[in-house]
Amino acid sequence: MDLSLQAIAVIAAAVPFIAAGVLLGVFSGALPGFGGSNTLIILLPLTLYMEVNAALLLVVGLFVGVRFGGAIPAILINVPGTASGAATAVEGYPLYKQGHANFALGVALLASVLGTLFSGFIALAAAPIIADIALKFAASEIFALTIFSIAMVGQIAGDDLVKGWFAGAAGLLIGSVGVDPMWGIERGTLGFVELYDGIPVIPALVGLYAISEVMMIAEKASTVSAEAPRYRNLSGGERSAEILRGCAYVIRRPIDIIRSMSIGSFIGALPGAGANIASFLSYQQAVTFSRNHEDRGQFTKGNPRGIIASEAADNACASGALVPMMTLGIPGSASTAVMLVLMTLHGLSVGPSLFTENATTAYAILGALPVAACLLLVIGFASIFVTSRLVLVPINVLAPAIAVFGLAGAFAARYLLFDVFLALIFGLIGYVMRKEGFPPQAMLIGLILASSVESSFFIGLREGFGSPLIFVQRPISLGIWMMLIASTLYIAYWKRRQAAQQKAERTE
Amino acid sequence: MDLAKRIGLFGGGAICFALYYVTDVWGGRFETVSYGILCVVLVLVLATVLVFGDRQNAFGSGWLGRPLVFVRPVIFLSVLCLYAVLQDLIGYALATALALAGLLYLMKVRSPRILIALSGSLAVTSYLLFVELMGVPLPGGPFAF
Repeated sequence: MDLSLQAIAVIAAAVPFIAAGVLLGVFSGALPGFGGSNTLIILLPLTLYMEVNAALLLVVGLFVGVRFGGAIPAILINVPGTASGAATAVEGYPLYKQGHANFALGVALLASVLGTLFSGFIALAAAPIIADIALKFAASEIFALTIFSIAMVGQIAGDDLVKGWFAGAAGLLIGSVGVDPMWGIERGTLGFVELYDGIPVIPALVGLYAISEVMMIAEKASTVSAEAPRYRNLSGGERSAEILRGCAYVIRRPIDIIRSMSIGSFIGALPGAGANIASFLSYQQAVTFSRNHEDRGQFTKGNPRGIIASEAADNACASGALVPMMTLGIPGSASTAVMLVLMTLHGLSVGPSLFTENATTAYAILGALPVAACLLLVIGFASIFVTSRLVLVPINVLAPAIAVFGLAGAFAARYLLFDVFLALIFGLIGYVMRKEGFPPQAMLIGLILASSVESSFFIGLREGFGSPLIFVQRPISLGIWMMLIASTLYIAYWKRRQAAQQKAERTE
Repeated sequence: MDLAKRIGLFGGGAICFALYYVTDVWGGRFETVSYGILCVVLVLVLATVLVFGDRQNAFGSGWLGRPLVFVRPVIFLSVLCLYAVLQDLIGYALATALALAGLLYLMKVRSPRILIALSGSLAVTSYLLFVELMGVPLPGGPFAF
């Protein structure tokens, strides 16, 4: 009870920061091509100088706001602000062309709010249980879990399973650069003293995401700007009524909402299975569960049920991904990786011990999700009226700004110019990876988890008196290895089936 | 050349680093060497599967045969490298303004007014944010700002 009151007090004191995070998230999500990860990466060094709870709850607000923000350009100009907004664009843009843009935005808004609320409550209920179980994990379980996470990210994040694993293995390898934890002997540092503590995560993050993304944008630099969205000649009151009509539509579809939120929450808990998978899977299920032939025929022509499915799952997934990150220390995506880095830099031990050593902060983060959802309802509603101009900012103007702010952030981590050059090197690596079909997320997760993998490997060996069989003897670790094998076989079979279907469609 | 295209830049880079890593740690203590060697073995096994397995899963996607496609991104990166070097010479604010002007020009922003306005305002904003608000000691250069 005491703990709940402390967490509530923390949340109450940080409401302005949560609101600021939601507002920033909506605006940055509305900028096509900017994305949540870039915003988080740019904000990361700024939050280092804030009080820890304020910083974390600002980021939670950002998490929540950016998902809805990505729906705005998806609906208005058919360019999703986030990857997961692509499914929203399929139904939202036709609705805009039919003159129902505000209605579509209202549907997206309430679906986003409900998705976040649902996953917030699930996270509050599930996280302490998972953390309690995880406290009983020994080194062999931690080793199995970290390998499982890296393998899953590699399998799911990329198009090719082996390429994903290769990227993860490369991440594990470069994650071992620095002094080894047992004997303090430097390895793989190329003679650079700055690498003795290992590859710093912030420059790697800035490089693999922000810099490589701006290089991709530079490759496709275009002067063509999007056509300005045109609304019907409606007054502010009429627009508000349309938005509320959209919200009312969502309330009349409880089954769609519950199904989508459940899919999103489940997918969010899987490492590597990002919000784009959740939103497309949920969209696919909405088509499958159409009530009649007429309803099914409306898909891709402006069926609001598609927006409900996509947005609810997207938001539920993004919030659900916080649970494995906080309870097990396993980040499943770039956004949760940034959150993990932020928590670590603020001195919080991420993992099951978070719920014992910093319980107030842990519950405040999870409790902030429903609060952010409620704030999104108000802020999102108001922002609909202003963000229609924001979607027109050309990405080729944003790209240099992303690069400059990202590099300043890389410098701010350790005040070393070396880190700026490191970020640029990782930028080149990330760009080459994207061109050749390797997922940078897998490398990043491998880099972050490398120290856990190594330390749990050696501690496990010592617990087993030098025998590697210790890693398969304990039931939980054996279960995790079985899950890894089963998921690998299933995903390989599913991808092979998809490839065969696509080949058959092409020959037709 | 076919093998180089199949290995690709990332694969080739990873293999080279793996070989360097092995030579760097060889002869060390068990704990220093073993984890890294396991990772190297994993990298090499996966590389072999990719290169000699099904051709569709080969490393390089053949883009080495189309080098012109990455001219602009490489120039973009080179400007950023120059920007990092310039920071120490002429200070963060000036270097940022110049770099932004160059990058915006590269991104096909041609209007001089927009170039100057955007690069100046972003440089000032980032300086105020990082140096004044956050107190990050960004390189000052000879002009001490």
